[in-house]
Amino acid sequence: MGTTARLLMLVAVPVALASCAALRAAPEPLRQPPEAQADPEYLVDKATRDKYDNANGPEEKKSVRNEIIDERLLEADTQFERYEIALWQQGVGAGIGTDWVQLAISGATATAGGATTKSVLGAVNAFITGAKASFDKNAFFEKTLPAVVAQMVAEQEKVRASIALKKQSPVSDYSLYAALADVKRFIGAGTIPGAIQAIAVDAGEKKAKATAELDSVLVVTAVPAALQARRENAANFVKTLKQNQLDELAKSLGLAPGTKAQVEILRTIAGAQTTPAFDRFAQKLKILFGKEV
Amino acid sequence: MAPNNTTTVETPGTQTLVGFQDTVQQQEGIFGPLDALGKKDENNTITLEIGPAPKNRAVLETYEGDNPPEKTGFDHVCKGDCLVDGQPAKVAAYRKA
Repeated sequence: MGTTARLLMLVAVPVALASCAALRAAPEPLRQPPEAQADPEYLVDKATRDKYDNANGPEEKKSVRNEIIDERLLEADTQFERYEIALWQQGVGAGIGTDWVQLAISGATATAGGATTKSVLGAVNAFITGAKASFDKNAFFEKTLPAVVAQMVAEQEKVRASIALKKQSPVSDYSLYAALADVKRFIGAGTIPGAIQAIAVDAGEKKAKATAELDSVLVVTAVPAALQARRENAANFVKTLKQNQLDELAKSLGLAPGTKAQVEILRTIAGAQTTPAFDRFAQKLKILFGKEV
Repeated sequence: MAPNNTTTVETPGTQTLVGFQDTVQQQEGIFGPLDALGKKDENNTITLEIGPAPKNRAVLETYEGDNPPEKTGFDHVCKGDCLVDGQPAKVAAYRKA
């Protein structure tokens, strides 16, 4: 194999591998419950399911179910935050990698002896430059990807609003397994395929609609005194924030910045009716303002 | 439509008066003073002004007739047709003067 062919393979193989994915006509057949429930994708372990199954009466079951939902949503939010950071890091890394390949080939073009080799190297360089023009950080990581991520967040908020509504239902109408199916829907909404599915609709409008839906159905009940003390501490702190700080906090919570930011943030606090749910909010205050609540 | 400086939350109408009052008091601690009470479908509505939490939280009492009675040492805050234990009830809110 000549130098030219090897050079082309070096470029072509990773491109081909990257674009190749297994394609199946349908998902795998359903597994039997014992096998399926042992799968981490089932979202909860046996001990958690036992806690739900062994709860005394519908009210306790409902309470356990809602705690499980809140905990799983918190975990999904945590993983999504990590995913967002990883996407950003990948964007930067891909840009640097492409730049290095391009620089190396440009150098080889300048120093290679044969006219044919120079010509092929130049063509490869042009290919990579062209590919970079199509997929580089300017086009994808700085424009397309943020839009896709915004769509993910919008879709997630829609599902979150729907779950918040269903949490008011008794377990006879909304079982733990139905709730877990919704949590899976929430997780799916926070994926690139999930976002692409809904990308045609404007993300801003959808999020505003979902937030409004959540806003209109905020149903609250009394929480334990210790949690309430933390919520009031957080609310008092939020009321001291300036508009730019409120906007920053609102954006970190997936809320719209602007004149309604403060009330929407306070509603988020009021909606945090379990410790795990409030911890998620408290984490934002700590990260953004160093405030412990 | 509520003005920008108020917000409304809902709470289940199946609660006892004590549970309803606890919820109102906690929401005052988050948003600010109670502004209005009412009901929507099977829930009670609690409308609150956005501002500092009141030092003395609202207390709720049910009443009969058109107007709530005076309560010694307390100011009347608001009244509303609500649900208590799932049943329609007239509820008045007072705050210690």
